[in-house]
Amino acid sequence: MLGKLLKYDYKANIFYFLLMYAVLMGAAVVARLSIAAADIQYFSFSDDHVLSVMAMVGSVLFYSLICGAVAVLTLLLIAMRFYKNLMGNEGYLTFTLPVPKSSHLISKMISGVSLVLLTYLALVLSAMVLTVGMDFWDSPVAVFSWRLLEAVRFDHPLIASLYCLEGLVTVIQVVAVVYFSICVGQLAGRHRVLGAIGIYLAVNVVIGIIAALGSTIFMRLLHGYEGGVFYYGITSTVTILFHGIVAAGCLMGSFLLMKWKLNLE
Amino acid sequence: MNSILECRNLEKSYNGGRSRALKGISLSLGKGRIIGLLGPNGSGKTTFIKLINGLLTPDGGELYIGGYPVGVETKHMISYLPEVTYLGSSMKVHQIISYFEDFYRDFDSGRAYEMLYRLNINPGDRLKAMSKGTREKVQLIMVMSRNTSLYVLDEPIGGVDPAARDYILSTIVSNYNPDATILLSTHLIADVEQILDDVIFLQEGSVMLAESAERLKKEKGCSVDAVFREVFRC
Repeated sequence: MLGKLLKYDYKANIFYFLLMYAVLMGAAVVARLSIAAADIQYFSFSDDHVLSVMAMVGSVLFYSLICGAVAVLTLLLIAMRFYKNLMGNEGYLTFTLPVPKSSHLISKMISGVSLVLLTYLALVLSAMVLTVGMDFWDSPVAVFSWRLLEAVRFDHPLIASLYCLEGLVTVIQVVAVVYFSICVGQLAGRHRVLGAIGIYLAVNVVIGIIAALGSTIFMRLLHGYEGGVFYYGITSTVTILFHGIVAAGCLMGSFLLMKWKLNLE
Repeated sequence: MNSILECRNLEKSYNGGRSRALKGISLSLGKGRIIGLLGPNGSGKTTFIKLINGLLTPDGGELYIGGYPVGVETKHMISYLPEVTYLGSSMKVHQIISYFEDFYRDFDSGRAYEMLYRLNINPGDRLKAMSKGTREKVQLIMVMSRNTSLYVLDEPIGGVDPAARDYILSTIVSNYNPDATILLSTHLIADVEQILDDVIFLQEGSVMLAESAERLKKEKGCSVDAVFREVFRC
């Protein structure tokens, strides 16, 4: 049954995601072409150079805007699918399917997390489109970025693996917090959307405060070890554990609310 | 076991207990019966139906369907028609049929297509392109195309014209297994009373009357509709 739930979760969203990725790639291609056009104008010493530079700046800005919009829309679409399918009118059908409530949550988690990862992949691909044929890797931005990564020991295989795992667990936590907020929000009766937004903000503030306090204490404890593999390894491990605990707590909370406090009024 | 549903002291409140929708009702629904769940607005009919379907969690009491507490097993046994449109509006009718086929092993797609054909509904049409009445018919077709033990229909004829009501009632009667039970909630008692075996009157969250429709008519010497009007006179 989980496979069937997943099939319908992907089916419900795939059109919007593909459309979004098409717009993103389109914006990247336009930005790349405008950069190329500005280069040609520059080397031909044409009078149209100013115009082509303006077009380039505009299209790169537009591409950046689209990147931001794609990231926000991804989360919004995932939240909307969860809300509509479980807490809206569709919930009358979804919750009467002969499927355990845990399967609904697992299906939504798998589809939500995989769609966020797909969006990451689309953003990386679009960035590659933007920089194709350019000496990007020798540019000051790329050199600076690589130095930054080296400084946090991304060049070390173990640390790099921990950072990747940290990224995955963070995505799981972000999606779990969204679902938990919607599950708590449905208890607010007619103000369920407003309630969900309030809970989402409150949970994130609490996570932020705990993370800030924790990192301050942790940096003091690790004083003298800064910069080494041990320092970044232990920092990343603790971050993974923290996000993992928050995600597990939110998922357990969502499951218990769906099991005992479901309220499709 | 002759009953498909048993509940004892079933309670449900809203607004943190300030509004009591069900005040400890106890009922037993027999197998193979068509039962009318009748009562004025706010009497607790929809709350009771949602509890049966696991869409609300009771505050107290016990509820068993086919001997099981509400859960995955009971959802196999219940075919539910809510008063809202619960199908995705962007779905085409044949996609809805595939959906039901995927999740309900007792779903008879042949019967569904036959009913669609008789009602002149194109399986390729999207739900959002249909009138409210046609959407309700599509939902009813999906619900009645299952071969299950308990059909729970919440206001199945509430939003359709009188001609469609007759069709819907004949669909209900002709498409269910005689061993199955139908629990039907409605305000339009005159339209349904000819098919009812039993009636349950709910008032302010309590069972006021649970009786065989025939016996009630004999005792009172009038129709169920007339009894209802007398009992719930404003």
